[in-house]
Amino acid sequence: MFHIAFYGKGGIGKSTVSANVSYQLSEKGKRILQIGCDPKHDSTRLLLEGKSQTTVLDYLRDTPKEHRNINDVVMNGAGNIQCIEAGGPEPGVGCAGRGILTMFDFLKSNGIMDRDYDYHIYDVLGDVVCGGFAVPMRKDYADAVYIVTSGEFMSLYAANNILKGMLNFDDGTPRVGGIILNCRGLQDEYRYVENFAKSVGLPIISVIPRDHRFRESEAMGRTVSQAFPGSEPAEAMAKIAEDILSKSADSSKLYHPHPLDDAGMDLVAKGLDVTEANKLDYKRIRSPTTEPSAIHTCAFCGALAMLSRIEGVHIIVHGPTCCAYEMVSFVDMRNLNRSHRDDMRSVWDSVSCTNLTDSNSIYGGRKELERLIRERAEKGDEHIFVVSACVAGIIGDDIDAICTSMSKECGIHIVPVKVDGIAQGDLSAGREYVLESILEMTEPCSEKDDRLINVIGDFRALDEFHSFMDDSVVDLIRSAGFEINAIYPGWTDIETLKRLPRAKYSVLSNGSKRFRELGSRLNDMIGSTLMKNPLPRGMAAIEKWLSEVESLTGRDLSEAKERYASEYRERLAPIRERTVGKKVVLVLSPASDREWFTDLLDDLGIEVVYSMEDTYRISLVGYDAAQGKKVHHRSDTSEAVEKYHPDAILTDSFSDLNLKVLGRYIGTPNPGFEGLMDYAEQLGYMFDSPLTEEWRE
Amino acid sequence: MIPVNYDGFMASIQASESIADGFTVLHGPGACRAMNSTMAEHLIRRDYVPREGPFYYGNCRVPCTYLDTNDYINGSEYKLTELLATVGDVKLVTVIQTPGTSLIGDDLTGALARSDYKGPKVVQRVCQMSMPASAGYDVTLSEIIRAVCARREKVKGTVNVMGLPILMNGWEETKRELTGYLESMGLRVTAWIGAGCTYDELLRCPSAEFNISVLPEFCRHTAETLESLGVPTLFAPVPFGFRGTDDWIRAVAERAGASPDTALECTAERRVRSTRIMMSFTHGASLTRGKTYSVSLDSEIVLPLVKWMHSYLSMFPRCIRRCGWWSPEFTEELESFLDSIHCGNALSDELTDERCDLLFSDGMTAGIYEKSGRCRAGIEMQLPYLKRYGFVERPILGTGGTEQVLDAVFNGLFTPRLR
Repeated sequence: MFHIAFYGKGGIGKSTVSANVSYQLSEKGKRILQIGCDPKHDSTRLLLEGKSQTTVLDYLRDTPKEHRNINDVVMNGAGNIQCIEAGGPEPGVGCAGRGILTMFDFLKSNGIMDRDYDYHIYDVLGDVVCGGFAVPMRKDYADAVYIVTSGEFMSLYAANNILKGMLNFDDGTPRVGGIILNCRGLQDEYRYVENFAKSVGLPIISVIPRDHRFRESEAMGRTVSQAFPGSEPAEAMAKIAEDILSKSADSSKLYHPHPLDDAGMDLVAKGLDVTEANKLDYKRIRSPTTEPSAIHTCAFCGALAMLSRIEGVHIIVHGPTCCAYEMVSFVDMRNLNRSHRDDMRSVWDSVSCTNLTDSNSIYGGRKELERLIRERAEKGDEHIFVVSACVAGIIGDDIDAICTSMSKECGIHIVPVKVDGIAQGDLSAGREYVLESILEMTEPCSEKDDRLINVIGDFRALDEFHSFMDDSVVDLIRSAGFEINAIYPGWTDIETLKRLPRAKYSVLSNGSKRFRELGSRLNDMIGSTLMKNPLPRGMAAIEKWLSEVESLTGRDLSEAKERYASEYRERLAPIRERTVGKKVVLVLSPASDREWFTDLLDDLGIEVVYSMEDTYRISLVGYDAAQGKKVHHRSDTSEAVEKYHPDAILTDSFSDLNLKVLGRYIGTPNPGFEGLMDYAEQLGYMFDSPLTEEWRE
Repeated sequence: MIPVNYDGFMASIQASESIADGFTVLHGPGACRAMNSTMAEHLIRRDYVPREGPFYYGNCRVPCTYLDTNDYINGSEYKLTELLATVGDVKLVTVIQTPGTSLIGDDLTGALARSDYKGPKVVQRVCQMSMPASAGYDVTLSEIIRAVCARREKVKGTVNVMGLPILMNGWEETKRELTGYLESMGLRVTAWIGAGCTYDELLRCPSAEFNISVLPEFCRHTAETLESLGVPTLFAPVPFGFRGTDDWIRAVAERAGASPDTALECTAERRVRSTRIMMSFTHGASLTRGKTYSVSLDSEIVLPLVKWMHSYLSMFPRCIRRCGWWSPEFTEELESFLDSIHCGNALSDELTDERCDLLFSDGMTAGIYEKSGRCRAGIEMQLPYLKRYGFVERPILGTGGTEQVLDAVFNGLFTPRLR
């Protein structure tokens, strides 16, 4: 069995050539299977007396799995040629390339590729626009590829692209059959094509003339080879069939692809000679696969995290089930594990999903999205955010237009969040993307209340939204003379969001660089005064934070400062007995706010003998390494241990280092007083821990 | 409640991970890896081997090609080739594509052929996104078997057991229990397909005399594939509840021409023990009578559960969430049973907020309903589980599973709760 694919620009006559060549080969007694790989599904029409047949993709869409039979999509045509059409979505929706992949899987799994044919002829859509349309040119499908072109530049450009596509799949086996010139009657047409063919090192197999008999035979629902045997066009088709017979008998007669670069194609367009330098080698635009380059999260998840904590907002995930499930479950499980509240609500209460399937990836997911929006509107949702996952982006669903039209239809507020999975970048990109839309819901306020403060919740760690506001934080904020106006991001509702601009001050819950950038942006939008110091972690930070409040508001907070300082000394004293004189190595991520930690170690009498940056923490590796910092590895930690013999390693790496020295995951304490004291207590206990727990032995 | 389900794509990854010495590679963005590699760590345990560098980032489970937008546009199979060069000495590599990646048409077969890894490898071509978890699990194993197994001479007295997914809480305990019953009938298990068998065991699975199902929905495709390799399948009753487990044993014994007596003695012993516990306190025999429960499960285990709750504990369903993934035949049978106990209106498209005594659901929903007082006790029977660290096995199937459920029911309903 020999597999041949005909490629070429759309409308160039591939289907006519394919059908004629199939017929010519069948006339020579060969058993042929012709597969049309074009959504417009007209490849086999001339072999079927002008009739169109059920396409594979329509069949798969409309027929339950248990009722499918491969013979339902195979028709017998002229010359006993077996005909199959892939079909595909309507123009402008879905993904036709995915359709081709689906069709080949169906054909393969139903054994059609193993049937006893002499030749498989694939008639493939125009340019190689995506991997789906490149399937037939892969080695496991096509033994030979013929390119149909005219003398028009765009047609030659498409031919060159096809050669580029083949170069990507080149494994050293020659697989290009040659060029077929289907004349358009242009001036010097043959010379242009000949120049291109010579430049890419391919022969012109046949020249098909412009001829009225093509139109006449089509009107009869036949190939020209069948309707006008022996005519000039039929003879041109016969030459292609002869070439196929010859090359299928001896594949060494096939050619390697040598596409041209853009400058080379420019020369072809001008009818000039091309140099060797214009020929491309195997070269693909590649993303690097180094550690810093990797994206560990997606914008989709970031957007979801920002939205999912606003009561009164419903989120529609436009994507497959797994995207919604993975992202929301991950957040929700952490919240539930940490929650002590009986009334906690699940993020799931405000999320639904269009559950896109493989079929949607071919035909688009518009209907599913519209249906779900209507359903949610009927249930009374007034604010809907539609967040798109990778699949929705790749298949090109226009969620902006859908949201606009559905907003009019249902009379509710619908906001498209077109992050398309990773298309907009990582988690932080998703959060930023959605921020503006969220803050559009706030109500402007010109008279700020200086007793009110907004807490800008932690964007960074998904699980910290819920846990960072313990009672001691509230106590600290009240000690500074403030009432909390709103917490965002964090569990909130639309009414609270609306009143965000009322507060004169805002404070960040976390002081990291990335958080500060995003927090500042949010604060600018609501027009409050952002405190320089975030919610304090550590005793020094508490004092500093209270001092900043004093200078901003003119309040006297000396009593509060003294109260905290004295309680700190009192509660730290028994812990210090365990820790004083101990030596530690620090392995900290660069983005962590370490001032509180080193202060605490000082207060506990612990000496830091060596400190290194742990850029290996997966969420930070890309960010920090991109700034030229060295990526830390486990081996670096081992070396530090051998050199400094510390009593312990304190690290915020996720890995269990399993070294023969005490190790502790640092994490970040809650801001405020109790978070710090809890942390200090745990640190103290660590130095009384066995070096190696029994289970490790 | 969780409005979407653990789907076929995620189940595909765990199906591949269910091969004890297999190696699963995810071709797609890193964001798709996070939950699935963590899930794999919890569902089937292997020693933690730190692996650094691209594709791993310290975590050895389910390495990933970490694609970005550029890869979606320009193709990315070269990353897969590069990843495979790092896998080292493993028995089998299975490549699973993420939903987005499955659309871009990367030439994965070519990528595998070009890689330095020359061992056995399987590519799942069609992503099972938004398909039932059972189908994704089943299809993946079926594809792996089709790719690596060949017909073999039959070995008398051997069987494969399939349809016990590692997604099922306490699968290892269930496996031990059922293995014991099979051994008591003189049967040797060649491969526990999808439940921790090794690659070598999988290769030998076509030599078994026949296959035995545990949960049929998780093994229909696999059964077809093995049928084509000459191994027929016995679709036995689901071993849930004491009677269900006995029925499973009897069906296997009948097919094997063996005596079920020893196995049935074991189940009887455990059944008696449970009965004694219930009879030993004053109102034991009637404590559960007339109590209510709700169910929100995707699996077809719902039917044996509902029947058992009625026949064994006289408990009645308040709400049973209808799952779009159930087959029409299954739904019809369930409806018919509910009608027979005058609970036809319990079937609902959504889990209602109406209070009930017990809720059988995923761990998260169970936790939320229990915490919010919408049920007295939530019993987790499907992913995501809240109790992820399995020091204590919590099986669902077999007599062990029955005891676990009884324990959860009685302690959930009749012991004081500390909140």
